Amino acid sequence: MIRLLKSMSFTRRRIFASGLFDVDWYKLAHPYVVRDKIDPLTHFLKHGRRLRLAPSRLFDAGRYLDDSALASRSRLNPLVHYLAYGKKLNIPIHQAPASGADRILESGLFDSNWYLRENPDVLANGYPPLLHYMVHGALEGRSPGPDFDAKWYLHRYPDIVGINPLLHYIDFGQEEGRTAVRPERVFSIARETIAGIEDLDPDLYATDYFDDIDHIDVVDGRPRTRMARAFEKLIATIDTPPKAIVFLPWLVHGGADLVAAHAIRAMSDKHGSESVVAVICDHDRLEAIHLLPKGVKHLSLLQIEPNLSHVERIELIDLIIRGLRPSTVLNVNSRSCWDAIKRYGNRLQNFTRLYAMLFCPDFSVSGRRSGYADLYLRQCLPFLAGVYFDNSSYIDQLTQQFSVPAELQSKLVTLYQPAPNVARNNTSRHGNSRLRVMWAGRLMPQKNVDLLMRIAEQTQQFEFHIWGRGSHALELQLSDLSRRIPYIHFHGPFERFEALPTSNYDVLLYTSLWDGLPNVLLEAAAAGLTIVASNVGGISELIDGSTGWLVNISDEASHYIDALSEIAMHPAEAQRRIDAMDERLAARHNWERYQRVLTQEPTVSKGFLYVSTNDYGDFKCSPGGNACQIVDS
Amino acid sequence: MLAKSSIASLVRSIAHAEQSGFAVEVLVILDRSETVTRQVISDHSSYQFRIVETDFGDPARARNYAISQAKGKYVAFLDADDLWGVNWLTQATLAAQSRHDAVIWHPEVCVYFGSAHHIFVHLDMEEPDFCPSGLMIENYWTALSFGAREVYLQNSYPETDLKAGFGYEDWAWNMLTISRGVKHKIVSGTGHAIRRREQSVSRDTLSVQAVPRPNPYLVAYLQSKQNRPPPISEAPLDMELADDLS
Repeated sequence: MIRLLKSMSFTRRRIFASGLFDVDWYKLAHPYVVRDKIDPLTHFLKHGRRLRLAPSRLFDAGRYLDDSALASRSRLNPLVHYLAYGKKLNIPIHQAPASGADRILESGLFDSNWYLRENPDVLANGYPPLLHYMVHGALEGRSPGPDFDAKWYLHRYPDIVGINPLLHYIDFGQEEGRTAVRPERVFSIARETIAGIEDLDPDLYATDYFDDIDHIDVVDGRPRTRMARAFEKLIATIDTPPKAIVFLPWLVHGGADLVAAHAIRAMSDKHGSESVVAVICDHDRLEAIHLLPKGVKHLSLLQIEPNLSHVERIELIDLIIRGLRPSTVLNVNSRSCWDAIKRYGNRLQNFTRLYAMLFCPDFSVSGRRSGYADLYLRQCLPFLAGVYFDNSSYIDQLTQQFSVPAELQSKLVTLYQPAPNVARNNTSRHGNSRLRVMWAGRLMPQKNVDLLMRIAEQTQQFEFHIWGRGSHALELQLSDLSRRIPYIHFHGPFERFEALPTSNYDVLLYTSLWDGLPNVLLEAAAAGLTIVASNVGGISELIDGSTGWLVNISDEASHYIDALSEIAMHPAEAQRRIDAMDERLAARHNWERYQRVLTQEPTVSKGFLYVSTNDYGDFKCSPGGNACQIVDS
Repeated sequence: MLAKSSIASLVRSIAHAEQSGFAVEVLVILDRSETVTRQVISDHSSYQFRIVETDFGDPARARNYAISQAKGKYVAFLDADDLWGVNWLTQATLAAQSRHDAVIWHPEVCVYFGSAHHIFVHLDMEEPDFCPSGLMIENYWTALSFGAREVYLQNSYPETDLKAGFGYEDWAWNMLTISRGVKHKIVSGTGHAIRRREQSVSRDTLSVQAVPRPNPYLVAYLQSKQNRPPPISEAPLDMELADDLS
């Protein structure tokens, strides 16, 4: 052995010494190497990089190349690279995915003793049984054990050609409901059953039912689709049937996410955190998971089954609601959930009370109105118990736009969001120092960053502090502006509003082209900032001449500059409006009022927070099918 | 005319049961049936069938009515299109007599014929690989069940309402009974022949994407999961036992 090692090159010796090359594993993982009589290490050194081959279960070569730019750029075999450089640089290595032989062993369908008994030639040659099966047996149609009949499988499923049939069964066939052995017992009982009655019916005696018995499908009721697997996994994670389920597209740092978090918190406060489940439907993004109250369970459909299609997610949502039968369901901007309500709302309204939240119109890149209200409200409203809006202006607009009949109008509820409690520590502006203007939001067309830049460029008497992330092009423009103009500061992204140094600023400037009643205005108002905002959507319900500065001609920079100048010149008036805003927040944007509305409205079907004394009672619809009534037991 | 074969299979299964010492009463419910079906049934009047004509237009109500009229200790359903295996009544009765808890029995296999050609294997709830969540997606058992009349009396079939999207009275009933603690099991070695017609009620049900009526099946399953004692390895040791072990 020592002589053999000495005769090897340094690279080979180093690889052997590392323990990361397992000859036996390599042969089983790549049986063609044995069949073609190639030295495994030579094969690995020659083809390992190109084919991303693992040298053992301990080293995932493909992942190493993906994770390490250094290794990827070099032309070295990944293991050679790791041993020469990666190890010293502490580049992490990971276990390789299970090889075919690993999966076969894990399946329990390979029985070495049985294989040797059934194949005396293998025993006689002293061939390791699993290696023989991988190299020769599978392709020769030999069976690996008593529980997998290779000849039957290949005969029954002629679509399986040129691959290891056992691996096909493990990887696909099992889930597809294919049978590993000829179902002798089932055939026997079926034959006996038909033999006793076939003389009674021409459909049975005119032809031989079992003429081509091996091609008769044998099925049981167990569903084996990807969606069914996802549902099974999902149910396995739930211990307590929830009273409320909130469907979300994702959970990120956005206004709608905060609104959803308020509703979840209200439900959690009232009925206990274990009674609420948040289902993340459309994207596996959970950056703002901290928004959920402690103890509230969340499930991400795409984490459970990453390849679920949109249609499968719709079906899954339908199943979740029908199976778990929560008292209430709330959809906050999940497209899959909107589609589930559109498609199955007629029956789903008998399983739960369905609610949704809407905020403002939205526009596609090409400028078409394509918000959820435009896409879904008309079809879904008859099935919904209520729709909550964060402003009343949008309700008025939609009522007019769709001629919503009076009986359905009662389902549309204005639910003013609660303002946060923020400790104020605003530093007052000194004498002639510049007015400090903050802008914070997503750098997207909706927020009209172009207007912000025009305002900032056209005036020199104010200091601008811009926070946000979004469009790369806009980020570049703002960075450039920040470099060129000393009183404009682009600070980049912020995680949440409360993390911003609001006490260093005087004014929040808000330039949106369309909106509902954005939460950032409530946060800014609660932080004691004077607000200058465009008069779009429901903003005028919060900001008016008494509580801030509302700019009516919303795309004209000079009007915003006039408002900022007025604030700079009349600090007492600005303070008066801040005080008035405080009163408005206290009266309308408080937590008690929020909970009251969410419990009592809509008046007919009650609110999202209302729970029937019969949690699993029937929800029956009025004859018109448009108003859910709660039937208490 | 298709009912003729069903009745003939029923007569054969009764004969088998009677030879084994069981008495069988036959109750025929003709719910909005066609004239030809009535004629076929009356041809077998020599078997002393109790024939009742009803106007429910709903399989659930017809089944519930049949249960209310039945007199025997056990009940077995046979739909007019389908055929029982010869030993069904005998073996199902023997299986039912072997248990004292609430159990609904199903044949081990169903041979689909007519416009279908496959074998459907029934699942047994007491088998370890039984998957509870799957019953939300697929019905595991046909409607031709067998069990103590008491169990059927205590658990009415939920009515169907295709306009509201609710069909599959047997599927909904399977779920409902399980939620109330009833077990669904197979009678080993037995089979039925199920006729699939080109146009059947179940196909109408499919076309409206109907689902079973609301029932507490999954909620009850989750609640039972909560109440289930932990596996022995995780269970806290009984103090007395702990002392012994120490």
